Amino acid sequence: MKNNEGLYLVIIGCGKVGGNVASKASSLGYNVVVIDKNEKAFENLSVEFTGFTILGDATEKDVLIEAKVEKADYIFVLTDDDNTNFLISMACKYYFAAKNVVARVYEPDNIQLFNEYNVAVVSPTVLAIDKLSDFVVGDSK
Amino acid sequence: MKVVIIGGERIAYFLAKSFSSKGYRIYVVNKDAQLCEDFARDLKAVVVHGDASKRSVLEQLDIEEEDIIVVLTNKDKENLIITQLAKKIFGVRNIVSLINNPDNIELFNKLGITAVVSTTTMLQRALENLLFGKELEEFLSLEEGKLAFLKIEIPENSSVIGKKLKDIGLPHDCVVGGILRRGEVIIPHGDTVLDVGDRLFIVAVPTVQTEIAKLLTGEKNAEEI
Repeated sequence: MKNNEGLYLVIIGCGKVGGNVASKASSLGYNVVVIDKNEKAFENLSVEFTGFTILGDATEKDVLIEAKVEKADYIFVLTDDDNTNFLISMACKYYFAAKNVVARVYEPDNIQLFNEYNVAVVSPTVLAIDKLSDFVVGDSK
Repeated sequence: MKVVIIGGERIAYFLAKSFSSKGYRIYVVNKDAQLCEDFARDLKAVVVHGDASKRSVLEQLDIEEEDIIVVLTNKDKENLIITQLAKKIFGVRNIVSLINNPDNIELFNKLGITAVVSTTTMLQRALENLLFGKELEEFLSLEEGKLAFLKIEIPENSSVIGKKLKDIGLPHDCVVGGILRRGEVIIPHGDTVLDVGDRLFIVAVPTVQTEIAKLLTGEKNAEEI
């Protein structure tokens, strides 16, 4: 198994996805910091989560400074709004020279723009379309 | 060539009005349906109801590379994605954007949007002028406000009159680069004695601006008199 000790992961947006990934990474030995502007969101973290939480709006530079994003090995930007995710991704890259920024992008039309700026993209919309298309294509055979 | 005004309420309206009266073709895009109805009634412009941060909405506008795009929403994240879509996907060169949080000015600049207007910064300047009166004037701000050039006039009964520059206790993070005294330029050193009406040109980091202004324009306090 990969040795994750000492790797630093910042997760922005602690919803179902963010909370789950944070908990998993934490249990695998990552140092994890989770940012959300809603305190209740941290309830999505498992009881075993040993990382830190920051209550704040990650579109503000001060919050990103507090999270030490410049030291992060990976930054996952997972709020439920593409525009917010774009601003945060750009701030991470251009203010803090973050290397591995991965953003959730709902609108397939936006993927190209994120890619232009070297932000890796996970699109639930595209994933769902691909999965469902497999069924459709499978049936037609 | 057309002018596309995205977001904004009154500013969008008055900009559209002023540019259409100069004969420009105006497109106005707004998320607010009511506002769009008002615009359509009162303006000579093509009014589009929709969210311009969506590529599909921008595609309806027949944007051409030589168009001018003005982005005025009150959310920087919307403004950022709209400016970047316009620039990267539609190849527009002339883009002006409003910025709400001054911290974001540098980010927009780095992403190629150099024509930015920050109302917060403008209000901040106006307020500072009210607070420190006419004596302090920030006449240039470099590198997105990391370095400030100040001009300060020594008022009557300032506590520093007759003192040497080195003795007045200026903060470390500033340099007095020149003094204008009765039309003559003096390049000061530590032993230069300050006089009433001197205009000091100071290079400083913005955090010590207030301290400098207080020091140079502050009246003599009781124990000194």
